[in-house]
Amino acid sequence: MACGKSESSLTQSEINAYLSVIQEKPATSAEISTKMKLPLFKVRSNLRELIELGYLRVKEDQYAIIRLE
Amino acid sequence: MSNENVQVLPSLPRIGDPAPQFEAVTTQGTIKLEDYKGSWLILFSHPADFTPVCTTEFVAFQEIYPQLRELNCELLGISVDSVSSHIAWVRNIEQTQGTKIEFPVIADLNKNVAMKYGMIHPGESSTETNRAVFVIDESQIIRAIIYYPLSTGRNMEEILRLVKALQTTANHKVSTPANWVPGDKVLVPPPASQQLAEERVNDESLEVIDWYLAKKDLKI
Repeated sequence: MACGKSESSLTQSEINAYLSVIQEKPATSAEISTKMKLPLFKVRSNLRELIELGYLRVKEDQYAIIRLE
Repeated sequence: MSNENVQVLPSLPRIGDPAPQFEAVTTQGTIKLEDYKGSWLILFSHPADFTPVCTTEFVAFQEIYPQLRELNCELLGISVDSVSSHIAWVRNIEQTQGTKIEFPVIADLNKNVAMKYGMIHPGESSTETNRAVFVIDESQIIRAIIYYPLSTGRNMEEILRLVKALQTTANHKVSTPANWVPGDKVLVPPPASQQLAEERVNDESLEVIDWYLAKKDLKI
């Protein structure tokens, strides 16, 4: 890793906020945007990052938490 | 002329073209243009962080950001600076002027986005982006383009007015006259036949100046 490159642009509290919103059931990016009162572009970007970080998976715009067995 | 002598220049995006897609590192994480689908977007470039005109513009862009958001329009800045430089600059703006920059700023160090949008004009500077403004609609079509030189700060009221005028045109299929602001009368399309021109001049629901020039109140 060159020169201490950051792995994520999200804070732990932001990650927790996303996970809590979809903890009960999967949701679309638009639904998450409404629930979190965040702009849709930001939610889409952050959800992509959460997938890359291994927290979420997406199927047909339904975002769900990856639960460890 | 042989083909070897033909220099192929990149075609710059024009009004009515699909906005060139990109994925870029910003002060708020990695953003793709497609993330903005469904909302209007002002993609604007500035020459460099920690420079005087750009600093006044950033404060001014932030001041109109809430009004733009009410119009379902987002702001996205860009320059050929690193994300660390952007972060330091927006923190400096907040510390020195009390303005928190809430929109993301692209760190376009490899000029990937700037080149796609023709934001670098070598006659003025080959290393900095000029002051370009691309207004992109919710379907990611370019609806307006403004270019200003490095020396001249942009007028935020005009950018706000432009977005309102473009949205009015998109929603109501009308045009807007010079110096139009919301609440003013709008222009109806000119008649396409002699028959329609005859009807137009007798249309009492319009303010008819001549058969090709007529205004009406916009009922919203």
